[in-house]
Amino acid sequence: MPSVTPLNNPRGADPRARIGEIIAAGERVIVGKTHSLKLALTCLLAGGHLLIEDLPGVGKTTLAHLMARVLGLSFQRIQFTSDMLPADVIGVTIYDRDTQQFEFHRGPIFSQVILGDEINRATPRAQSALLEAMEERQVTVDGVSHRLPHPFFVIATQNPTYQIGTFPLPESQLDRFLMRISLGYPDRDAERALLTGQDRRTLLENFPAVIGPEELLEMQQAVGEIHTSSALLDYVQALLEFSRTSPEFATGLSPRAGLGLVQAARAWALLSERDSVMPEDVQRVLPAIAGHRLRAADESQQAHAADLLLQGVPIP
Amino acid sequence: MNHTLAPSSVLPRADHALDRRHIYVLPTRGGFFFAVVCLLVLLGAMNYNNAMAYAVSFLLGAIFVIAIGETWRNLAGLRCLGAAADPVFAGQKARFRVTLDNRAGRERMQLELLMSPPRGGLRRQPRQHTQPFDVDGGAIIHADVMVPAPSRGRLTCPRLCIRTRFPLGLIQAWAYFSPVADCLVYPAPKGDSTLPESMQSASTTAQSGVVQTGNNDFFGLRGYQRGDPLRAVAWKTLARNDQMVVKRFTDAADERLWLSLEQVRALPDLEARLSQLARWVLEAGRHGIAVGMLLGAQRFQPDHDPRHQQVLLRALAEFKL
Amino acid sequence: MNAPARLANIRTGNNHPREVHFLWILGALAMALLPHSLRFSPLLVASFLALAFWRWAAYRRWLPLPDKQHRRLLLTKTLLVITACVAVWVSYRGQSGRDAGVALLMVLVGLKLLELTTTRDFFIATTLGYFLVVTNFLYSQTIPLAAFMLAVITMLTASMVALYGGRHEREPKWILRRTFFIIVQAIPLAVLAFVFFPRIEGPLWGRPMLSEEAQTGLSDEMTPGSISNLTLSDEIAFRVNFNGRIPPAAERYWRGPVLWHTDGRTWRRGSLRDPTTPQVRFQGEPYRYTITQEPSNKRWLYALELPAQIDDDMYLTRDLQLLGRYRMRRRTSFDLISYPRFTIAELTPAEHQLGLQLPEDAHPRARALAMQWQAQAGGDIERLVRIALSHFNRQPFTYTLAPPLLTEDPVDQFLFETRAGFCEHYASSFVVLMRAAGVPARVVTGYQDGELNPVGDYLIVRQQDAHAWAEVWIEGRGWRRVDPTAAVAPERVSDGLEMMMPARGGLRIINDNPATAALWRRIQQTWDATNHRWNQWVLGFSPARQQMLMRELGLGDIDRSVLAGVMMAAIGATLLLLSLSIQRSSVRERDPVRSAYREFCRRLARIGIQRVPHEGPLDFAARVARLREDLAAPVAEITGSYIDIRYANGNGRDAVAAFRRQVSRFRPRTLAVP
Repeated sequence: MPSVTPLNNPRGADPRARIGEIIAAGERVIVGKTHSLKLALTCLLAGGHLLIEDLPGVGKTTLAHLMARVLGLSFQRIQFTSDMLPADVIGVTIYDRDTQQFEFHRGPIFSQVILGDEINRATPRAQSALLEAMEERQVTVDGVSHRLPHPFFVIATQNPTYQIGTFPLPESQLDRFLMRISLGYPDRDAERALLTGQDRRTLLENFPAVIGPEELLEMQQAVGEIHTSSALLDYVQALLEFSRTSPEFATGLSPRAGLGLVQAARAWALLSERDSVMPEDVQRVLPAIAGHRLRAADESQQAHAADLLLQGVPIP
Repeated sequence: MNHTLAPSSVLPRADHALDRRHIYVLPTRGGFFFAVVCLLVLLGAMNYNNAMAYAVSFLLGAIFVIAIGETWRNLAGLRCLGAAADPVFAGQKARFRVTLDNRAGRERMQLELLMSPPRGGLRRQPRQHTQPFDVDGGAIIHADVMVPAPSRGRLTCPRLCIRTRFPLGLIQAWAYFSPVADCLVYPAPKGDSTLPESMQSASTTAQSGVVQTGNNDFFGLRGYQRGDPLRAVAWKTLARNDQMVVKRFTDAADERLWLSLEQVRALPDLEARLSQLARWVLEAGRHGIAVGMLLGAQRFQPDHDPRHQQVLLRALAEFKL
Repeated sequence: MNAPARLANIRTGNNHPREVHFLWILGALAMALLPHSLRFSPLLVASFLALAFWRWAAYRRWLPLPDKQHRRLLLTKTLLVITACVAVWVSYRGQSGRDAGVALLMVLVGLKLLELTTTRDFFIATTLGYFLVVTNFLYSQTIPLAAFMLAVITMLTASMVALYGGRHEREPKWILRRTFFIIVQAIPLAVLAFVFFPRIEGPLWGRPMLSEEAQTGLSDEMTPGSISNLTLSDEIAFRVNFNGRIPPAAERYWRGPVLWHTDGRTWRRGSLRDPTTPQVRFQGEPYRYTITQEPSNKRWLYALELPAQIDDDMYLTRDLQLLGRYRMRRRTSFDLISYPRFTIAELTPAEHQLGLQLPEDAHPRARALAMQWQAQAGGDIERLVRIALSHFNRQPFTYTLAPPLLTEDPVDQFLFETRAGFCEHYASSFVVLMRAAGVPARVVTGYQDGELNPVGDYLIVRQQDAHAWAEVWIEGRGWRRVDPTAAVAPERVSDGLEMMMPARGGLRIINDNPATAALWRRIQQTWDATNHRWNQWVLGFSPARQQMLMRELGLGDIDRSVLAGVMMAAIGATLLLLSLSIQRSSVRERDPVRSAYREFCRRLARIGIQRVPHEGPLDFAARVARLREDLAAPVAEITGSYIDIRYANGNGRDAVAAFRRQVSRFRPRTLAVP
C-alpha cells in the first residue's frame, strides 16, 4: 500500500481511529453491506442527507436506526402516509389554556437523526415540509423560527417509484439529498447470518454508541481539512463538464452536486484513512451522488448513468 | 486496499481518440493528379537540364509530403464522445448527433462526416456526407449525421467515418469510429382505421384512491354528467351560477381508450398492426384522450402525460424484436 | 475549458468554389504570367485579361457564363478555343517550339478560367499555374526570377488553401499564414531532394527547344569594327575560378577562334581541315581553373593559353582552338589545366600555305612596307617583329574604341592614313605585314584579362574584354604570340579595358565621386559573385557536380541507385519524424510528474498491463499487484510517490526528481512461461 501520512489533528484524538470501530460495529448489525454502510457514514460526515431507495424489508430502517445508535444521536422515525400533514412532521402551535399562551409542540423532526420512512407515500405538501427543513436546518411555524438540532441528518427511504399510490419526489427535491443508495438483497452468506442470528431490532435496542455527537462534529470538521489538490479538482471539473456536454446524458450534474461530490470524496478519503482526496475517492462516491441527478439520454442506460460518466472521463 | 469494492461494471471502453493507428491517409483524385504533374515537371527538367524546373518539381513534391502531415494533424487527437439520437418513425431519417471533443487540440478545419469510407484514388466520391465544418480549438461540438431508418426497432448508429482534406485537398485523412448509440425507431404511423370508441371513465378511476389536488393541473370545466364523482363538482360555480359543472384535471382523465392488437386483427401482418396502433396513439394524443394499451403481456395504464405516449410508442417499437 | 458544446457551424450553401477563391487563383495565375507578358504579344496578354474579366463578371452576375444554360455561348467558347489555337499556330509557325508551346499554354489557362466552377476545375487551373511557372524558367533562371516564382508558387498554393479555408476563406492573412507554414516546411525537403536526387544528363528525348536567338559574342569572322562593337557590351562571357595561383593580367589571354583566311577586309577561319592534334611541349608552372561559360550557341570554348588537360567532350584543334562537341546552349562549367609557356615544333605545308595567304593585289602600300622591313631584318624573324612593333609604337598610332570608318583598302588606309584603331585593326594589319614579309602568321581572337572579383575571388570576363592578337611562326620556336595592341596601348593589356571606360551602369553622380563609385563597384561585384555562385551551384548542378559533392561529403563514388535509396530514406525519415511530432504534439506532456507517470504506465503496458484512461492510480496499482505479485512492491512505491506529489501536498523539486528516478529504474519484464 502507498504510504499514508498521519492525519494532522490538532486535538490529539484521532477520529480515524474510531471510524474502524464504527464500521465494525455497523457490520455486526447489517451484514455484508460494508460499502453501503460506508457510503451512509460518508454522507453523514459530509453533512448531507441520505435517500435510500429500495424494496421494503431489505433493512433500510435498520440502517437508519443503526446510524443513530452507533453515533449516539437522538433518533426519530416518521412514517409517511398519504394523509399526513406538514404539522405532523414539524409540530403544531397549540393554545395552552393554563398559560394563556400559544405553545409550540415540537414535531418528530426535532431530532438528530430522522428516518423519513417511505417518503414517497406522503403528499407533496408533507414532503416539502421535510425537505425545506432539511435545507434550512430550521423550521418556521407561525412566524417563529425554531432551530433544528445539530448534527441533523435525514435518512429518507423511498420505495421504487413504480409502486402503486406513490408521489415520486420531483427532481428539484432529489437534489437536496446528497446521496441516494440502495441496499439490495443480501448475498448468500449474509442471508444465512440474518436467518440464524439475533433479531436485528432487538440487537439494535441494546446497541452501544461508539461515539457521541461531540466526536461526530469533530470528525465532520476533520473532513473539511482533507486536502484536495488542483489535479483532483481538474478531474472533478472534467466529470461535471462531461456530464453537461456529453450527448449520453439528458441532464447533467448541478453545481450543488459538484460541491457535494468534493465534500463526499473528502469524507470517503477520511474513511479510507487518507488525508488527501484521490480520484478513486471521487469514483467510489460518485454513483451514489450522481445516480439520482444524472439522467441518461437513453433511458435503458439510466441504471449505468454514473458508470457511463466515469468511463467517459480519463483521469487527467 | 481499503476499498476493495470497485465501481460496478467498470469495463474498459474504447477510447475514441483518433490516434496514429486509427487514421488512414491517401491522396485524393486531385492528389494523384498533382503527383503526376510533379513527375511531368521532373521529366521535363531532366530533358532540358533545367535546374529551376528540377527545383519546382522538388518543391511541389515537398509540398505534397508536407500536406500529408498537415492533413493528418488536422484529424489526429480528435475524440468522439459518442452520439445520440431522438426517436423517429420508420421511414424517416434518424438524426445522430455526434459529439466531437477537441478540448486537447487546436483549431480543426473542414471536417466531414461520412457514412461510408471515402474512396481513395481516382474514383469519384459518393455524395452522402455532411457539409464540411470547422471546429474551434479546445471546443466540444455536435455534428449531425442523417441515417435512414427503414424499419421499427432500434437503429444502431452505423460506423461513421470522419474525413478531412484540409489544407490543400491533395490528401485525405480519415478515421472510423462506432459510437455506442442507437436510435429508437417507432413504427411508421399508418393505417386507415378510425380511432376506436373511447370509454367514459368510471368514478372508480383514480387507482391511487387519492383525490387529485395540489400539484395536479387544473384543466377546465365540463358540464356534470351522471356518474361524475361528487368531489369533482365545482361547488363555487354551482353556488354562483346554479350550474352543475365538474372540474377536470389532467391527471384525472375522463376519456380513456384501451388499444390492443385485438382491435387490428384484420390487418395482414404484425408491422401493419403496429403501425395502425402507433397512428392511433398519436391521434389520441392530439385529441387529449388518455390511452392505455395491452400489448402481449405488457399492460399500460391510460395516462395523459406526453411521456406516456413515448412509452407506448416505444413499446410498439420494441414489440417482439 | 468550460466552453459549452455547440452545433458545428455547418455552412448551408453548397461547397462549390466562389468568387473569393477565383480571385486567389486569378491573382496567382496573373503573377505567373507577368514575366511572359514582357516576352509575348500584347494581344495574347489582353485576351487573357479579357477572359479573366469575363469570368469575374459572371461571378458578379453581370455576364452569363458559357455553360449548359447558354448554349450559344458554349458555341462561342468552342470557336474561341479553335481561334486561339489557330492564331498561335499562325503567329508562331516556324519559330521556336518553346514560344508556341508557352503561348498555347497561356491561351489554355485563360480559357480554363471560363470553366472554373467545380473544385476540380480549380485544381486543374492551379496545376496549369505550376506549369506556367516552369515555362518561365525556359527563358531565364536568374535569382530575381526564381524568387518571384517562389512567390507565385506560394500564391498558387494559397489559392488551394483558400479552397479549403472553411470559415477563414475570407481572411487572406490566415490563408497566407497557413501557406507559409507549408512552404517553409517544404523548402528544406526540396533542397534535400535537389542535392541528393540522382541527376541524369539530358536530353531524354529530342533536342531541347532552346533559344535560337543570336548571342552576343565572338564569331568566326572578323571585320574592322566587329570586336569594338562587342566592347560596348558588359555581358558576361565566362567566369573563371582559379584553383591556386591567378595569372598576372599580361598572361590572361583567353584563346578563341583562330582566323587564317583574309579577303582583304574580312578574316575567316579558312580551310584548314586537319584533325590531328599538334605536338605541344609544355613548360613551367600550370594554372588550374574552372571556367563557367555563358551560353554562346557556338562550339568553341575559351581557355587560358594553352590548355594541357581537357575533358572528354572537348578537343583541341590543330590551330590550338578548344572546341566542344556541341554548341554551348546552356551555361557550362569545365575544369582545365593550362601552361602559359609552350612550344609547337611542326608546321605542315598546308599551314605554311594558309599562313602566307594574302588576297591578290590588295594592300600595295603595306606590302611595300613589309618588303622594306624584310630587307632590314635580313631573315631574322624576331627582328622583323620588333621592327613592326616599334613602327606601331613610334608612328602616331592611337588606340580608340571609335575608329574612323575605313572605306578603301582597310589595311593600307589604317596603316598610312587614319592610324587610329582597335585591337582587330592592329592584329589584322600586323598579320598582313608579316605575311607580306614571308612569315606565316595568323589572327587569334578571344578575350584578354578580365575583372577580378574580390568578393568571390574569381575572374569575370565580359564581352568588352574581347580581343584580337597575332601569332607568327618562328622556325625552331614555333608559333609565338605577338600582341601589336600592346605596342600602342600597353595599359590595354596590363590593366584591361576597364580603366579606359566609364564604370558600368550607375548614375553620373555616383561615378563622379570616387567613394560612391567604389561602393557601387563593390555592390556590383557582390551581386555578380552571388550570381556566379547561383550559376555554378544551383543552375549548373550537373551530374558531375553532384558526384563531386558526394565525394567531398565523403560519400565517394556512390552508385546512382544507392543515391536514389538515400533519397527515399531521407523522405521516409522526414515522414517518420513528422508522424512522431504529430503523435508527440497530441500527447505532449509539459508536467514532468505526469509524463513520468505516463512513462510508468507505458512500461507496464509493454508487459501487457494497460491502464484504462479512467482508472485511478491506486486502483491501477492494486490491479497490477493482483496480476503480478512480484511487481506489487515497486509499483506501490512509485504510485505512492506519484499520488504524494500529485494529489497530496508532497510537491517539491526533490520529490519530483526522486519520483522520476524511481520510474526510470522501473523495468518490468514479462514473466517467462514455465
